[in-house]
Amino acid sequence: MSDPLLDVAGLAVSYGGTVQALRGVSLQVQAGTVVAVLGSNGAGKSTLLRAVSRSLGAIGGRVTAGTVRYDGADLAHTDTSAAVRAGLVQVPEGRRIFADLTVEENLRAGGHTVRDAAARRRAHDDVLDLFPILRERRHQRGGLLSGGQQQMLAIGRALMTSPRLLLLDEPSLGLAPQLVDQIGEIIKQINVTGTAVLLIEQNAAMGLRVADTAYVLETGRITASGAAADLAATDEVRNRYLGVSEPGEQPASCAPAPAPRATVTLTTQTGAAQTGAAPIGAGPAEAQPRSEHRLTVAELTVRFGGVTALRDVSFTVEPGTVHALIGPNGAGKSTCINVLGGAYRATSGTVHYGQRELTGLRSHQVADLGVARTFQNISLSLEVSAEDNLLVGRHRLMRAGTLAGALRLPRARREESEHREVVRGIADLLGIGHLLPRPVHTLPYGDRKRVELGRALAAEPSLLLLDEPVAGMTHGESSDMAAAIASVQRRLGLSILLVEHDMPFVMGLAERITVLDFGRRIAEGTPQEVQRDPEVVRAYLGAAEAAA
Amino acid sequence: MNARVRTAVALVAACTAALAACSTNPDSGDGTGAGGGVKTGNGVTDTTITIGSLTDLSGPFAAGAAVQTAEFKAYWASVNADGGVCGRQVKLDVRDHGYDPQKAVSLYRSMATNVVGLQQVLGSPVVAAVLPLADDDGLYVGGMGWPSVALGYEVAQIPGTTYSLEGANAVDFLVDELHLPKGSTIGHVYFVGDYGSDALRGSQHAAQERGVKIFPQEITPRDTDLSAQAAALRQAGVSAVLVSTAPTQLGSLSGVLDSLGVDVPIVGNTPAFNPALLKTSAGPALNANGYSITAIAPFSHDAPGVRKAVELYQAAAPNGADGWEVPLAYGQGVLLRDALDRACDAGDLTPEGLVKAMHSASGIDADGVFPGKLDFTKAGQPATRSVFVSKVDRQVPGGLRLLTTMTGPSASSYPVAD
Amino acid sequence: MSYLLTQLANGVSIGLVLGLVAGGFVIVFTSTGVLNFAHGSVVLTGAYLVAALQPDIGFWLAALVATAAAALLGVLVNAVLVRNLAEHNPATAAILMLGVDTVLLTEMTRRIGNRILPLGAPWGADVVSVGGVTVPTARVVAAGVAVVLFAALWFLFTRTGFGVAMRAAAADGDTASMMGIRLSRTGAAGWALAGGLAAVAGIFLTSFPTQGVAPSIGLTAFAAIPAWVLGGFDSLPGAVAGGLIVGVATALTVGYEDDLQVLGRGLGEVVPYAVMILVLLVRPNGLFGRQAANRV
Repeated sequence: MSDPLLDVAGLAVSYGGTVQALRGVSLQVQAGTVVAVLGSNGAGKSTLLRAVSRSLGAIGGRVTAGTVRYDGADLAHTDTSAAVRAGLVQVPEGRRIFADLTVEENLRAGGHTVRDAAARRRAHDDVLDLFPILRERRHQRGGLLSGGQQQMLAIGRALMTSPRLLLLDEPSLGLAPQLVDQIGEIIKQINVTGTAVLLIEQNAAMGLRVADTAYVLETGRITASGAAADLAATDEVRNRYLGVSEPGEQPASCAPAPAPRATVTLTTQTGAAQTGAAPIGAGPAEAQPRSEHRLTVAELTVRFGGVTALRDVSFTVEPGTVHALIGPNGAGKSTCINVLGGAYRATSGTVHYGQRELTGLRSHQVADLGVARTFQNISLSLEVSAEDNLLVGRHRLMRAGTLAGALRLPRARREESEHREVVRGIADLLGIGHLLPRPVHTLPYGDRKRVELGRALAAEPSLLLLDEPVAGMTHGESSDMAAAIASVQRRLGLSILLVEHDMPFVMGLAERITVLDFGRRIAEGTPQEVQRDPEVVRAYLGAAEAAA
Repeated sequence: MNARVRTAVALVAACTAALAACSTNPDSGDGTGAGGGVKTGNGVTDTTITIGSLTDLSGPFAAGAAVQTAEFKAYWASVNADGGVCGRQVKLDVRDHGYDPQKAVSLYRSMATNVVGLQQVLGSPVVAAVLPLADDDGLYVGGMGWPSVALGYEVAQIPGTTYSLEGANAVDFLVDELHLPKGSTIGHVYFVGDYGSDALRGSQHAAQERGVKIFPQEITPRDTDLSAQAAALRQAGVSAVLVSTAPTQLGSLSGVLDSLGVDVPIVGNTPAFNPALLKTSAGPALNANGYSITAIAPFSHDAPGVRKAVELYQAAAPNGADGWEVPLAYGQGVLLRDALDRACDAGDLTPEGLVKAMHSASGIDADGVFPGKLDFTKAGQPATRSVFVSKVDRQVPGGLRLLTTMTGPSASSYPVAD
Repeated sequence: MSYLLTQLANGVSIGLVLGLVAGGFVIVFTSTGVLNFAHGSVVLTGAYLVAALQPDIGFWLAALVATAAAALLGVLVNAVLVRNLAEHNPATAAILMLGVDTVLLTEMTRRIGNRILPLGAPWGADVVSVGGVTVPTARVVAAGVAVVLFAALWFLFTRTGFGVAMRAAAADGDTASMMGIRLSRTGAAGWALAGGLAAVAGIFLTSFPTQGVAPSIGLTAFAAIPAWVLGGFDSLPGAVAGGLIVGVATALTVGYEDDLQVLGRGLGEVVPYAVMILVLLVRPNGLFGRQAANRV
């Protein structure tokens, strides 16, 4: 085999010198092949692409170890522009077309580095041949294009340099299924002309379909790699994206699994991850449910402008149970939880908590009903201590007025010390008691997530909404979190509705699961039922996989 | 550790301050000095008299201020060469406030106890900030322009008339000398504030007296293109224009009026004219129609005082710019010297004694630098109501040719204190 | 009628010059995200250089040299100060620019003093009269030059690869750099353009009816700030429209001040800001603005 076009060896990247986003990542792209890197949110996929395209600096990242060699040359001291001139072009995540420039001007900007006018014209014609719709709309502003057309424009813009290696960052993100298929076809077409493609995807179905070779990236490490077809068939990947595990087995991610095919290599997880794999299933609640209320979502529809994010979604969260809402990226999970929390308005449909209708209430009114939530992106006050952050959660329950508090009247002081007592109890329950005095910005990511959970619990809710509570966590942290949530839920008898990508986590914790895809409910049931549902398999791993 | 360092630093600072205070003590020895039974105070020792100057050597008026400072230095050097004042040498302590009132106030605070009086405080906002403080301290203030508000301060010695009386005289001049008919409209373009608004009060009083109308146009120093104002003046059909602004505005206005075919007399206050204007495109228009009403004799005047001023200046600054600042600085020097002499004669060379002596002065014209005998004995009244009237003339040094001195009827009747 | 037309002509011509100044603010802001409060003193510096050089090398050559020098000054400020000290912090950059403004203004004041330096422009104090409407020749030339410059800018930004790259970099620098566009170059080009525009505007701001170069020109350039803001921080057409609105509104209020006496004197000074506030009340992002909120 000839030297690879791209050779990444032992790459490590950190942000701000502390957050380690990639550790020892190695991968190769042979000239003229398609390579997919699969991984969920926070796995470090975009970081990897930016490290290759030399654009890490713009987001504050730094390569701390390892090399990136392109066409035999080390890129260490090459800037983005030079990399582009050498034929290495990235299509950024979220398309990022220049909305105020016309289609034509977007392409022109893409071909900025091409000095040869004839070559530029050729590339321009090729792009318009590949995307006829862009030819039709070339005098329109990029911002007026639909999502799929914008993705085409973003790819076409990068193709203007006639690259030898095209880096694609989640091209299927937020697109409808038929468009995702179309993008897949386009990638194949681009590849036919000899352009190598390095593709980053959360949509494993799409990635595995178009790629020759694939890698699985998790929390900064490559955990599996091999021929795409082989990888799709492994339990490792099935588990990762469906949470399917053999009965009686721990989630595969936590145990070294034998390589089922010779061509697939599995990177062994660290010992730390295994120790975290305590049995944490949500058993029957030890305490009486704090609330007898049932959360009933009926025919919920949410539209933003012309986009329908949720369509006629119905489900029920029984008191004192853990209910999960899952689905591929863009399925509408976060939208749903935001409507329940009062942040978004429903277009139609209703949400009842017990007898009270939540639809139309504002966030603080929802909170007053005993509903607390955490956020996908942590929203803590970074400068103050973890304890004070938790105390903020008590706000709803504080009796003494602000004035009394400010004057430090005896009553207010007594009340404050009571609140501190409660907060300490909650912290101990979550295993973060020792972190209370520390300012939040000194805490690692996993602990911040737990502090945020603690803040939600401090409000003594009867229903807890968790938006991706383990996103971006390592497996060790993720299982710790699962244990903490399960224990809290049992002790306090809460109802919990959670949204999460981490399938082992969801399958281990939830009693019932509702699956969304493109804003519709496609399945509901116990974890076992959902895992076997052909619709769900198709949504996650693609049609080919479901048929197999 | 830190606290100890801080204490040490504080102690050192305190000691330094104390030492500084001690070292200035001889300068401010109270009681009767040895110099021939003259009572002395701040700024006066047996051998020297220190006077201050708060001026703008780095801000917008740096150039004009430099001319005045050069002339002050030359004047006091010549006085010292002749034996000084009251047997003492006069020392001029010049500080630069850069047209910043905050800075000027702190400079004033640091200087006030070390000087017997201030030869000069330059710049309207600075004057507005410093004058009340000096008044509280009873400290003499010489040059500060000619705003009527300064009449309210006992310590201020305005070198001549006021802006309002310049304005009133300007109208009288237009009616009596240039024969503007009754019912004519006179445009008056002015800076809002102690300068232009004061001049406007004078011109409006005179207009009422003389049966003409004033068409006012308010502007600020930021307006450098007066096209719109000029068009408005033409629309109003003005027969003459008064200008109480800076030179830039006078230049723009006369240029545009000329281009619009408005061929009328344009009369500026003392600070409005600058000979540099004659080199600009407005030069011909100003040369034809420009007049200046001034409290100080023009640079080219042949009175002995003015010649002496110019001589001193040209010896000290051979390449300096010609302008009305030269006779002005000389005149202010003469006024302060006269006050110091009177204080010396009265045996009280303290700051209070200087202010008292200044108010006993009358009959000073500095050999023709001022348009008449200045009289400072009447509190709240201007020292004179007379002005110089000059024609802009590119042929003469300084660009102004003296026509006459005058005290118009409306200037005489103008109620200064209202 | 001819009075109204005269005032309108005054307003339009000064408005176009203000548009040139405001355009400089816009270009620096979009290409590097900096609120360039030193722009006024660059206007003054450009005009000063013309006045200082023209006795020796003639007006036209002096104008050319001054424009190039002002462009270079912009590039230097960007390269030495902005990129080294304040690249990632717009607030720091804005305050830094206030510092640069003070330094330049002080130096210019020191050099000019209370002199008024003649510009030596060939149009001098000539005027053009058409049907009772009299406009200074300098203003006619200014309007013509401004229109030509705006057309050239339009051509640059829509018809040339580098101009399109500059717009791309302005819209989304991170993505543009992934296309191989060097932000250091588009930024430098933006500062150079703004500097050059400032010098040209400086020439016309100090031409007749203004009498020449005096330090107060630095302040006059600040009248372009309301024009910049009301046009929308990041839009060149907005800068032109803003300049015209401010110019015409000011000329009309001054011209009819006598009829507007109820509102008090000295309205001309207040009008640009009043107009700006009115526009922002109706359109918070300015007339053509898009992203003021997220860039500032």
